[in-house]
Amino acid sequence: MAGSRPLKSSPLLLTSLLFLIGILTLAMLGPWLSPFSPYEIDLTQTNLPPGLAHPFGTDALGRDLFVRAWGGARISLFVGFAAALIDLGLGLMLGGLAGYIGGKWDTAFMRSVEVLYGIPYIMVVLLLAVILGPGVFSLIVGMTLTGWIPMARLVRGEVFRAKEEDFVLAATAMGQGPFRILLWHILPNVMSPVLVALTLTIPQAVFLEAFLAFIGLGVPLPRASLGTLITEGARESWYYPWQLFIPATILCSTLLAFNTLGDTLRDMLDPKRGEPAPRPLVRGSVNIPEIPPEKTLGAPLLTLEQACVRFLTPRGELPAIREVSLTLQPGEMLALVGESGSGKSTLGRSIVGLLPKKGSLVSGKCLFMGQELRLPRLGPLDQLGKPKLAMVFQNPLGSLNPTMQAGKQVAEALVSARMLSWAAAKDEALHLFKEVGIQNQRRCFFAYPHELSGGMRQRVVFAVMLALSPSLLIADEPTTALDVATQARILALLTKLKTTRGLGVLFITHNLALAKGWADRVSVLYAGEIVEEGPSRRLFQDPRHPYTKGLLDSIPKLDADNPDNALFALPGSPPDPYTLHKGCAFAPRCPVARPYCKDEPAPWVTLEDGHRARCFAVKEALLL
Amino acid sequence: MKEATRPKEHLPQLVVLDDISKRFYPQGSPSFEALSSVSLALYQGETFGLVGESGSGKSTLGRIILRLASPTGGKVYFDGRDVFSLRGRALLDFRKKAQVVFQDPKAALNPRMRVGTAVEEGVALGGIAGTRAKNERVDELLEHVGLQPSHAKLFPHELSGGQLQRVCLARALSPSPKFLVLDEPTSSLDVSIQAQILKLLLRLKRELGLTYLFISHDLAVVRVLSDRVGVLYKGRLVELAPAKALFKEPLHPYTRALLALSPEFWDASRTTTLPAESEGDAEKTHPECAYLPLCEEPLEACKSRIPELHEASPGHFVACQPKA
Repeated sequence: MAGSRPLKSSPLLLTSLLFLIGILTLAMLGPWLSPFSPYEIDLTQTNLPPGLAHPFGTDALGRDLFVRAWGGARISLFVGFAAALIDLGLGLMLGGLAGYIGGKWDTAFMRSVEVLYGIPYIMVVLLLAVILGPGVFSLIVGMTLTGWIPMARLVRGEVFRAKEEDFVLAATAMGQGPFRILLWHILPNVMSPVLVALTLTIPQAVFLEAFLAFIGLGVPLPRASLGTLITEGARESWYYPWQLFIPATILCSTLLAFNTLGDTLRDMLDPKRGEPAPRPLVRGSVNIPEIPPEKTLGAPLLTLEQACVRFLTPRGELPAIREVSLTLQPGEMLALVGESGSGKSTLGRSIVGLLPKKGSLVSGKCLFMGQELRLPRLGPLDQLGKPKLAMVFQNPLGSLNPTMQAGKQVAEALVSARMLSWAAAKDEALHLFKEVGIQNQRRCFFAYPHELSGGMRQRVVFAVMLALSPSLLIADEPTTALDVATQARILALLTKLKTTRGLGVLFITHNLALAKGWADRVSVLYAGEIVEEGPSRRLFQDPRHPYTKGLLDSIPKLDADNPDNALFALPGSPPDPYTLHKGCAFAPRCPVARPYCKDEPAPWVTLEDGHRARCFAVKEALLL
Repeated sequence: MKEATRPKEHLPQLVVLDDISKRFYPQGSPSFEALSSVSLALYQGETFGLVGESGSGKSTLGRIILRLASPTGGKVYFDGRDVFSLRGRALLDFRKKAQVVFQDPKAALNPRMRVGTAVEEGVALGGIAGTRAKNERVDELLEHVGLQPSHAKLFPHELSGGQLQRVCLARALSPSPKFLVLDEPTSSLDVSIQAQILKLLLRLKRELGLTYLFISHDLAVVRVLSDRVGVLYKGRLVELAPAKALFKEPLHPYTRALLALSPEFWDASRTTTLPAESEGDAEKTHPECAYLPLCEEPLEACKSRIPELHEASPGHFVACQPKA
């Protein structure tokens, strides 16, 4: 639940909460703060303006408006809270049971709820006010008679989702009864949206009560809610504006505070809060000036020099990438290997300029075909002329437009990137489908993304990418969501494109075996730094950095007879990026760490064939 | 159960699956068979590796054994008793003995519950009463899986992926089970952490005499851990053999393709022609081998009947036409 940390980090939440507490306290204590009674008529003191004796003035019968206003607020808030809490109770119980039991009971419940929901809310309330006579009780009954339905639907939906979660399955496997599971495992996890809905239901009920009072169906006189006071004040507003202004202000600011509270709570309890919003872009593309051909000859496709990326987070500055330098030649596949949190995806995104604009600091040089890339790097696709840089992500479904046929998406990319006519683009799209290894091109052309298998989707993404005919592809775990067979097919396709089109590929992966099998060169990333790099074959045959060694040893060995010997486990876990020291980040886990490894940055040691490692131990071994 | 998979050895059987089928009826799309007539037996004390691609039905099978999903056909026996006819105390007893560890430890733990409480729930189920005794057992379990008792007070989001998977293991062990379904327990973890968890699994099995059903798509991991391996393809068991035999001499063309394509097993064979990808899963009107469209050496007979498991060599079963 919302602890003290989010409270501090959101002044809006704190303000609205404090304001509401103030209003509630005044509504509770208000009548005791004044010597007057709300019903005491004093015809010698009528329509007095706010003053010392009567802070809010008096009304036409000389009653003190201060006590009446806070007494009215108490009635209004009581109706609001009571209605909302009854809605909550009914909603939690009925919605929770329907969602948890599911099946036929759920269907029956939902259908009957939909019928009830068809009756206009306000009609029910009006009808009950007429039948039961106006009063607090009939108001609450009227409001809750159908008012619980939205809450029940919300709870049902949330419970429905939560009961499929693994931890609920685990609790079932643990032999726990349905009520314990519902109370301990499901309900606590659906409370966030329910809490938000609650904070929004209260002002709704308060407002409805005010409206009913305005049309004469509120609490009966001489008791007065805020709505009654506003109605009375409105009549005299020309001569005595404060009689309207004061209760109206109390009502409006209370409603506003509740809504603000609900809004900030919703933002705060959203699990995606703080993460960059998902972007609809399939491919980031760079606006690059035409480069004369002689200038690009011989130059590496991509050069990073001392690239650094830091994120500003509530916990402080997070160094995600620390002084990374690398080069990529045309027709080469460079694998960027690292564990989660090593910064490999951040590096890929920083090249394409896909990092969140807010809170990320990028420094260093990034040369693409010898030209420096500058932010902002993204522009609308149709302005680009010839995009040369493309990016493919892990989840192909997120990269495709779900409402557009696969072929059309490829054709569209062709039309905008190569200025083809629609007919020519269609032919070319079919051709590209063939190139990425789709067999039934026509069928796939007219299929929507959800109708295709994971592997086929990723192929369509590759076809879109090819339509843009980039010279550099950044592939961020392009095969991780796929099974081994499809994985191999996709990588075989990339290898083919590499040779036939001279495509340079930056292949970001956590899978060492894939890097070993397919990449020409490999860079190993640990805690945002490259610790070792070199030609794939060399690096895997003769790893030098203790981290690379440990990582390779962690892959189960297949020839060992004793399963215990087949496994080597690196001790510890990757470091907390906030508390990195000056030296080698791997030192705390390193079996050969020297005492000074933690304090001094490790030196780069160059071995043969462009094989380099950054380690004191490697350097010392070389000197021996 | 069918003759083909009846155990030849005289080890006691712990779990027996007899002709299990599971059909799903998703809303708005045609129904499909996730599992078709799967029969197999798990012996006491062994690790049975279940391999298959995503969508092959391997997780569904694990859930059916645990009675977390019900089959459309067939029976599951645990310790000789029909799992789906268990009621009351007997069901609770089964829940105690058969536990599960899921793929994503983050999703498998209640985010609003301290991890110690999660483990304690199982301890209570195991029959230990009294706060003090329960706490001691929780501490003992946490230490057993390589955590500290102080971790009990933390919430899941305060632990790393590897530590969370250890908590899940501690929870699964809390009612003192004899059988664990491990549903891809390491595939969401980093390589260096994966090895730690696999070592832990090996140690726990040895110390506690557990039986594992190890479900994974990672052949290398399966090979290290398993005594016997079953290969699932589109809901059918296509091969079942002792781990060594299967990896040394795979018989089914699908197993061979899997081994050839799996990066861990594959060395510089970039020239391997990859079988084409199946593009449609339309249900066939007449029975034929599900692997037929991808098979490199199909026979005429494969088009007219679904091959059944038969014993090609002792203990090595395969569902493929014997080559002439």
